[in-house]
Amino acid sequence: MSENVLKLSSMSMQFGGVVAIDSLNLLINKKEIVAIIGPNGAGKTTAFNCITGIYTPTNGVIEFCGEKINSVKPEYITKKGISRTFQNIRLFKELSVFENVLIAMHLRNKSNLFFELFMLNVIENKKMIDEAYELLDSQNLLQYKDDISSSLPYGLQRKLEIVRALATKPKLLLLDEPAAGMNPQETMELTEYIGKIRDKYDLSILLIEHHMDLVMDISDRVYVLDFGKLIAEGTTKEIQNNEKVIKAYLGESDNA
Amino acid sequence: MLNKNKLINIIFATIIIAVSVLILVYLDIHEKSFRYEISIINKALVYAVIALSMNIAIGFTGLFSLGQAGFLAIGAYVTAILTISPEDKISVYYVDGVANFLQNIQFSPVVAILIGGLSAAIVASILGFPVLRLKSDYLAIATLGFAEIIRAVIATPQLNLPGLKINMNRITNGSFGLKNIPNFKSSLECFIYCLICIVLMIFIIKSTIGRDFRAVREDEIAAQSVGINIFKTKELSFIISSFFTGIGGGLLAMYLRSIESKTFSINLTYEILLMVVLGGIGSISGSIVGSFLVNVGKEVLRFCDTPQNIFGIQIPIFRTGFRMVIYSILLMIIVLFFRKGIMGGKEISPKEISKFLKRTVDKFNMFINRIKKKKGEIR
Amino acid sequence: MNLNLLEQAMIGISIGGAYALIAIGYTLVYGILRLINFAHGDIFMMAGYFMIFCASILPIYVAIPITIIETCILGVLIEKVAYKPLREAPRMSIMISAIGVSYLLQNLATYLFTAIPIQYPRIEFLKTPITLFGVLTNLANIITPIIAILLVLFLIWILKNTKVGLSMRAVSRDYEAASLMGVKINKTISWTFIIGSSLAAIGSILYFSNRSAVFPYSGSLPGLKCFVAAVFGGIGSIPGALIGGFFIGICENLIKSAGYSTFSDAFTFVVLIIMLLFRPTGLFGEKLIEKV
Repeated sequence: MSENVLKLSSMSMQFGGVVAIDSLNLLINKKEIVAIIGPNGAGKTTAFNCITGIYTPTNGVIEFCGEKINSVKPEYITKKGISRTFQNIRLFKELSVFENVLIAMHLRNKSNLFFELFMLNVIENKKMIDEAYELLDSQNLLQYKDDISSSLPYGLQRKLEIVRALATKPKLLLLDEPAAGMNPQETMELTEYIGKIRDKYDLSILLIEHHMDLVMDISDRVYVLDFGKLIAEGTTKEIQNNEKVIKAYLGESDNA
Repeated sequence: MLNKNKLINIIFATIIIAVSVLILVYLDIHEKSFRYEISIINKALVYAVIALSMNIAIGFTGLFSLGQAGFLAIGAYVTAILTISPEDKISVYYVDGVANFLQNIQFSPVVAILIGGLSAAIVASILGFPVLRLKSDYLAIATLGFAEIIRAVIATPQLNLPGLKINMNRITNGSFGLKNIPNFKSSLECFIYCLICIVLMIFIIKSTIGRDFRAVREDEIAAQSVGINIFKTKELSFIISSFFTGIGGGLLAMYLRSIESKTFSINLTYEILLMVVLGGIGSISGSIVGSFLVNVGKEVLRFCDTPQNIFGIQIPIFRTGFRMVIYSILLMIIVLFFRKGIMGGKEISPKEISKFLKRTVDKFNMFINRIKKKKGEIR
Repeated sequence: MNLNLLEQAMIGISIGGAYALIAIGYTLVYGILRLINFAHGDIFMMAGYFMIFCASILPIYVAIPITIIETCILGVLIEKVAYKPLREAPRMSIMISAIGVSYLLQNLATYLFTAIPIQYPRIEFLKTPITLFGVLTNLANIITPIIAILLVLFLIWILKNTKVGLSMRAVSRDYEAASLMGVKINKTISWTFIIGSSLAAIGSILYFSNRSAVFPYSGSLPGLKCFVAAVFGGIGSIPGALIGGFFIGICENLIKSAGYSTFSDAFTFVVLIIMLLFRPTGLFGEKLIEKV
């Protein structure tokens, strides 16, 4: 059927009198990596929060695989196949790396109190634990399995958050500034990593990022937001030469 | 590797249980000479169940609920009403007599305690809908208030609701309390009840459900983002916690043998909270250790309540109430300086014990080395 | 019958005034530290004991100010010892600390003054009988609400027009920003506790002179009720605390007079739960102007 995974049609978000997003149209196709860029306060994270159900948009339609998901609660959105990371890492800080991943696998585990108490889902639980092992192993995090997640170095915390998002088996992955606070070397590795997981898990990826190297390297298409409005969209080349974008980033001056 | 660890833990637990059973059997056989000790052990066991049940909500889910006394009261009164023998009921309800439908009811303790726990769980499930939406401190006050309401309902002689008049005196005996509740037959019986409860709770905490609880405690937004329904998880935690609190109430009624509404005041909740804090919020073994420390400690400190003579001089500060002052000061010290409690969020397990031993040996070696060095320097 | 109702209402207003004074203590501390000061009710109880001992050796008009000063010292001491070290700790720790202090104060009072209720000094001046609207009452009942209102007006004036008041408002708005702007956080918090405790002491004198006896647990339930009053009026709002105090006091007495005295305590909490359900911010919670 339709190849697009996510489709926003003139989505708006208002907080009181403040218009955070003004009728945004956005499209992500299957296996595409799309970036949203824009200056601070442009409404990028708000868009993420609308897509993942933390906010309900005041106007417009959000469609995921052809299904309207406007006022679906966050946990159900995750179950439908959208998973995300956060700008300021939100791991389960006091829990181990393994538990962080395991918790993200719960949503596919049909467990309830009755099953747990009478150990009726031993097989299913075992399968879940094996899967978590596998996932950690494939992402080279197995050696940190029993470490408390907040004790990991910063870069690995970012990575763990992505792995945790992968554990929910998403079709669409939203990354909120995955390279924030990373040095060029780490950013390069991350760029490679994002490409790799896209191929391995058949993901569509939407990311917010300020590192232009990363964005230009891996994005298929780029959307540019400024003050809640879409000012440009297109391939990386088109964006790089777009005057409006340059203005938004460098500011307007009379003798420009 | 995981299985080996688990196996060691299970063997360790079995050994502890076996040793406890042996001790208790010995005490039970010589019941006459150990009555005091048995009573303290039973009390500590019952409070361990209650403290752990509170820890499920506070420590593992991060719900600062202070309604413990209310759920204890529900469990205790249900158990008491269902276990007092029909003959005793006549003398217990000496004021207004007992309600007809309760007159000839008598269940075995196990059934009665279970019904008590279920009643508490049902009440919790209804209460949870409004109060679990509140933020931490409002939740604390609302649940505290709930406990007071339960206490008032129990103590009132007559409940007049619109279109419904219930003579509470004939059900709860109002403010006169209930007596002649059958006691545990032996401390082993008490131990078995408590053990079953504790094992079940450990099961739940270690299961996927318990992991969800901890995820909600750590970060609600992140938990949502990996597909956990926050409200459902909180509600489930609240219900499970209240269920076991209700059961704990039933056990408490059996231990105390007589209960009244005043037993279940706010201070009871505080006392349990302090046991949880002492042992360590979010530690299973901590709650059990906390309960034993508090209950045994209170007995040890009993000397503070009686005048003491040292070298023939009577020390004036030792008199009634001094024990509780010492006790509360000790608690404040724990709260202020050892915020994570005695266990610091860890569990007693062979692994942790060996780690602990290693650390102590290392420290000891370092200490010795330092002394040797200093001696060398002096020379 | 009607006269009886009027009499109960008047007693309710009087108790409500005392409640309001205590509720302000909760509201102020919550506004600044985001902490339910569980020990506030026990500070109020200790003020009762201070008054008993001061009045037994000193004339009343000297005893009253000394009681107020002693209560302030107690309040500040509690803050320095039990809350200050936990400033950076999670919310739950500091709340547990507050509960611990409350527990300690109760046990301390039981040890020092025994659990037997002690007679409160009879302040003759407050006991002057007065007939108002055909109801025989005493001066304390009349004067309590008036004092409460006057003190609230005075407090609002302090918050608006003094440096301490300004820094209190600043800290309650944004703790970190205020400290970055050079507001002395510790001093401001101390002042908050001084104001809260002195109001609790005045409330205690007015409350107990109509009760006749003090015992170690006489602070815990009124304390919780006053917190409910503060929540009812909207935590952080001073006029809210005043209105909440009056509301709780009046309702409680009307329920008592209707013959449900066991429920008068529980009623308070029913009010709380209903209020939190439908308007979690309380009556005046949203209006941030008076927020402290």
